[in-house]
Amino acid sequence: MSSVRRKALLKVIILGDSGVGKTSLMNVYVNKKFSNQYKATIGADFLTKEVHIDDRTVTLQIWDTAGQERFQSLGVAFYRGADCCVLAFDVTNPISFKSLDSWRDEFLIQASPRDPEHFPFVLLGNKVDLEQNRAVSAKRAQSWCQTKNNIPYYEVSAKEALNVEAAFQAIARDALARESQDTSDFSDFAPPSVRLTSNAQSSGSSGCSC
Amino acid sequence: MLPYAAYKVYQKRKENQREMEEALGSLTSNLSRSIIPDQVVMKIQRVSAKLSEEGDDYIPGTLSIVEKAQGVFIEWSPYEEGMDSGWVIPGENGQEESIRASPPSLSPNNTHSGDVYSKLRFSLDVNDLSSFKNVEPRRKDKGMHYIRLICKDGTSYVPLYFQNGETTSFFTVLQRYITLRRSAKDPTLVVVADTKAEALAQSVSALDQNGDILSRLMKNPYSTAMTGFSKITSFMQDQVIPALLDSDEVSQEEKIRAMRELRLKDEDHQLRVHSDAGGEFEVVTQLELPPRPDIFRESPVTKTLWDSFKLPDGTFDQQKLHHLKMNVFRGGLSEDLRKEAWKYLLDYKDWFESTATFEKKKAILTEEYNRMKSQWQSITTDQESRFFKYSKRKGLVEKDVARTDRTVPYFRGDENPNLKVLQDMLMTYVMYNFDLGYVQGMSDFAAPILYVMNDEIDAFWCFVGLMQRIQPNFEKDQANIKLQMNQLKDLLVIVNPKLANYLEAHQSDDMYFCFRWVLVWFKREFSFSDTCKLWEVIWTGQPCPNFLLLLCVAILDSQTTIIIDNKFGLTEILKHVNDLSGHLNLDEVLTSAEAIFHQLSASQDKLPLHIREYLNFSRDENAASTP
Repeated sequence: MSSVRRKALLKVIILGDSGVGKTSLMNVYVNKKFSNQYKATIGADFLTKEVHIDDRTVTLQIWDTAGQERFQSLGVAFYRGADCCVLAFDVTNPISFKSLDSWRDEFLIQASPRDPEHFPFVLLGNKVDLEQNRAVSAKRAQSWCQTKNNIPYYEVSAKEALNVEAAFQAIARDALARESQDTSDFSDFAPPSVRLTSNAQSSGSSGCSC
Repeated sequence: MLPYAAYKVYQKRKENQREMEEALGSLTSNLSRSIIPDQVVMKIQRVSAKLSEEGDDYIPGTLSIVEKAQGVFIEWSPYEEGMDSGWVIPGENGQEESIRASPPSLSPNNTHSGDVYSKLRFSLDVNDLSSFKNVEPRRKDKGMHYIRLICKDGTSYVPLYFQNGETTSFFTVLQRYITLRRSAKDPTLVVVADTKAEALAQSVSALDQNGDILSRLMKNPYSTAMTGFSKITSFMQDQVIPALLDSDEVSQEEKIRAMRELRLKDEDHQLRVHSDAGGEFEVVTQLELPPRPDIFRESPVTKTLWDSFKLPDGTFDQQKLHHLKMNVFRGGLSEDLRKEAWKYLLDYKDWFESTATFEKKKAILTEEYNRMKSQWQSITTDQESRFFKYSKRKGLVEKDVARTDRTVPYFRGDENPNLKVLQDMLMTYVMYNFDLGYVQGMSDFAAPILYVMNDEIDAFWCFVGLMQRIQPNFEKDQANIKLQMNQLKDLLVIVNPKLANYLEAHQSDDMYFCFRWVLVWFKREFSFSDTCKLWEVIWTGQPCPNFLLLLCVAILDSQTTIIIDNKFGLTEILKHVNDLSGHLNLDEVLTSAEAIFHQLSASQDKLPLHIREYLNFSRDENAASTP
């Protein structure tokens, strides 16, 4: 009964400073579980989740990485072939926001995607449940996004599972649309049911809350 | 709507067979998603998940195979929380052990809560299953039959213990959907046959009428594949797939398997090592290591035994020190001895220093500690606002302390005062070594030391002693980690060339998947108490330098068949290795690492120079072997 089913694998890398909640975001999205006591990630790990986009089944492979820069260079082999890079910061921690530029650059250098200008990034501002401690306003984050080719911005809370599902769903949609574009030259490999242009548009409009 | 859609499908069928399949497929999957209910094909009660290798915590649950619209799923879920299962299983000697629905917290690592329970629940598409470990108890009345499912992406699920021994029905039902095959190398591994890959293997075999392409592919897979695959693919479509349907092609399958075996055998005997001169690869020699000796762990060193090595002034007899260290290496330390013994193993106390001298030294070190501590404590918030390097480190330490070993009772609870001590220790280390600062992983080392010492100052100086050895691992350039990864690979080439070649062929020979092992010395792989035992063994420095790497080799060696028979690639290997966490048996790892050491030691005159250097086997003296 599954012979017709075609699976696409989308590789998503989460980057950001230590303690912004990368592991939590991944776990809340995949396992629906939040714990504020995840150990600091050492090395790299990933979780997979099947999502349904329109009538396609897509496997998201979400990569969680260590937050301290010095450990990044060793894991570059795993960045290659990424379909989307999720940059995460903590809205209560201005340092983690300042680091975004270097995370983005680092990714573009290490993963060396074919078309760096248009590579899909998504920005997640985590811990919005701690509104009273907020140090980075949504406006500030959005204007950063605008300077980077209008990357979509989501304010999320892993702790309260706020907006996490929506953000990852949009990430999957975006990456899928892009993947389809990439492979549209090879009609044999393109999914039969996804219409590329309409899909890309819909994700563009729903993808960004800014 | 349904009849019309079905009619349309019927119409299409006449036009195009392939289109029909797709339309029907999406039609049924869309419709059935809402219409057809899930069908539970099989349900086995009393299948318990075992949380970790250590302890006897089984979580009882139900294993089922469910046909759904999206596919066939293997599902396991724990019994509802709070329900007292009261399951009774026959234990050793016919005694009965009961399995609790709410297991006791035996080891400090366990956190039993609803969270843990529901997290264990899983649903796995049979098409994503790659293999499973199928381990039967050696004797029927001893232990339980268990399976551990392994996915194509490398994920391993928790081991499931069949309290009823009802595995046969599970396998029988599973075989309806997938083809199972026992691994030739490891009888406990059952592999899901990949029909596509076998077809490809057959196509290669069929193509290989005179043995030429296959042998070339085996010798030089990369370049041969680059030049030859396009041919193979079209050949496969045109010739082989139809040929597969012919029954007499079955013998081909046997042929390819035999050749594969032959090749693996060859690899076992081949040895590729770095040539000392050029750095090019060459086949230097066929090195066959002697068989691994049986090694047994001994009981932990007790306080009485320890004290018997001491002289009246508190120093140790130099003649006997090596003997003492070997005792610690072979059995670890009894818990009540750790507080004293770790001070020596971590170079805080000198072995040849009298108690009186140490007391004098300690007074100075205490003052030293307090001075450095007050340095950072005197920094005000205002000052911190213009002291980025400091405040960034402070933030890192705070974040990591809050998530280091929090399930261990010593650090449990929000208002736990030990958290502050750990924080103070690490912040003071930042002042002690500002050039290095705080790097993630340090808190993993500091916490067990603080737990054992239960004294801020002793713990700090022990930590400093440990950092003295492992500081290079934390440096910015990570050169020392890369060095160790290379050494690990070189050792694996000697000990298990088959696996080493496999890793190289799957872009994994940078050994990055062992990064966590090497950085925090298996802290994340073993329980807190096992970690303490492991570390004191390594700290003895016996029987050779780089014993840590032999531990890595031993674990990888034990996973050879799983990695190769599941055809794991780069990401799957990483996932598999990560998922070993909590499911390794420390004594097994220690004994096989020691056995590997003896293997290497016995053939040291045949080993390449760099390998001898890693393990400090010197060419001249044969005495470097077992003490």
